[in-house]
Amino acid sequence: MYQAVTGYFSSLAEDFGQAWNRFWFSPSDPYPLGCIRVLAGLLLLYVHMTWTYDLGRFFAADGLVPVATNQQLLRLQGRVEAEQMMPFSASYLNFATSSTELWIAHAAGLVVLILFTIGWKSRITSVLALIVWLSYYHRAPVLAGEMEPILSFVLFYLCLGPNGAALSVDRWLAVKKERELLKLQNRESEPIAAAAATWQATIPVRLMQIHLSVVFLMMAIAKLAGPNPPATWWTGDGIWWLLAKPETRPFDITGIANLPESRLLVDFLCHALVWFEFAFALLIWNQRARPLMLGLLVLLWGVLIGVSTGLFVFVLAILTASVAFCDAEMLRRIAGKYLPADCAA
Amino acid sequence: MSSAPNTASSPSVPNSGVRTFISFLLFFHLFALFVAIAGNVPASRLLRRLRIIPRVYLQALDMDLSYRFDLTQGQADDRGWLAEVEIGHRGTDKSWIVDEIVPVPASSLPPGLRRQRFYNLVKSLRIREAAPPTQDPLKKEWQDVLAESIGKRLMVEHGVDEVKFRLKAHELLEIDEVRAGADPNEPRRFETIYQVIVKKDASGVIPDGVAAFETAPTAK
Repeated sequence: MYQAVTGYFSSLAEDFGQAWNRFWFSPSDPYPLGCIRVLAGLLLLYVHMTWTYDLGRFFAADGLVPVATNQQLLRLQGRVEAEQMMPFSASYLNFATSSTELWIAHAAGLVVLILFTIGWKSRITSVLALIVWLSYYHRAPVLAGEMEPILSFVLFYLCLGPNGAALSVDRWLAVKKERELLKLQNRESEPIAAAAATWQATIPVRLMQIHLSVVFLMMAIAKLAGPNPPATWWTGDGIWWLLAKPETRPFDITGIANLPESRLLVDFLCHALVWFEFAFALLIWNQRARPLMLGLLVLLWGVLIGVSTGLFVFVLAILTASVAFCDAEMLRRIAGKYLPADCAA
Repeated sequence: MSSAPNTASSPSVPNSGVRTFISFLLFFHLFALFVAIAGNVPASRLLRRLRIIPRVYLQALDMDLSYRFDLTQGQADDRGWLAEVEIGHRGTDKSWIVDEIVPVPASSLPPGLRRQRFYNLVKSLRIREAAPPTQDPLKKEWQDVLAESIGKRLMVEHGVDEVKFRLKAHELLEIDEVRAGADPNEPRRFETIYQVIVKKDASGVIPDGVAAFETAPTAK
């Protein structure tokens, strides 16, 4: 009996160890990381540019959220917490007290984000881009919404892997160098091999996959749990309350209320959204269901959330993270259609 | 369609020492993620205590949250929110004369990220609307701090010494009300739940008329 028990635990530990190593350390193509870097970089640039209009209005010493106000709010938040600890917050923007300093810091951030997006010295610029991104978040968390935490984890995981191994200036320079070398050796006709598969690309992709699944699971649970049962999303009202809110919706489509059986339509959309979120969290791990889940993510979830809430950047951030589930070869084919060969490498 | 790693043996697999170290870091990160998600909702004492361990790590990376993005629950907190700042001056008899009412977010701001930031700022004033003041005295302080900041900024922009700041909740239309042709912008659908006076040379805010929290939240 003793041997049976020890044998069971020994084989359990061995199987777990093997599965763990296979999951985290098998080499994988870094191409998805390159795609995610470009998409996340474009989103970051857009978000950063939108700050330009209101930089002084929000962050100046006489702005809507001056440093002193932010510190005061953090202290209050700390007092609400059971542990009575002020939340950690660090931002280089806290040191920009004058308008000129704010603009210099903003322009420097913009340069970093451009370099990150094009993939120049990507190991360094990805870390700098994360610092820029988090600095804006920590400078005034009261301005943040659902999108910020999504891009935060995407950026953090990109820092952990070779995100410049594809679709980057780094890669373009490496290809150019290799071509020159082949030219010297009179082997110009030989094709340049794609960036080698590596375990360093697997870890960030896996972390992104897990994190995104957890986000979807939590979104679905939150919708159905609700503060006071029965939850709005359970009774079919969730989508309606989003559509009915003039302060946040991008378009007024409350006219659907006049359609025959509109109540049933709204209920259907509401249930479809919630059940899709549950399904995505679980079925995205199934190889057969993955393309379906990714398709529905764009056509059902993305459209519904975008149209009902106007949170288009949040939707795009989620779609960017979901590239972690896409096949490297498929991404390479798509990029190859639109980019010159050396750039798409 | 799969990004599952190639399982064939490869020289690019790390040696056992590196694997052990990275595995430890992965365990820590996944543990941190788990306690952030589980500990940021009403949770057990154990989970709340565990959350303290990776707290700084999580907060630095903007990961100290539960990702419970329910978007709406149709409760009092989920109404539409609007702030209004009355720009005005005192008449000779000290009466308040309104020159302009500035909405926040500005009505001219199109839907998009910029508008969302202003909306998030205003929405953060309504934190825990349903909680009575006796249970959450910090709420009043929070609202006052934000109202003072917003009010003082608007004073700078309009070159005045005093403004009135108010937070309004917008009662949303039910599906049947839309069918009946109800107007979503009827004045009776807007309820002032917080109103203060902000003065240029004074620290803090002065309550004005509507006492915050006195309005019972209306659940849908």
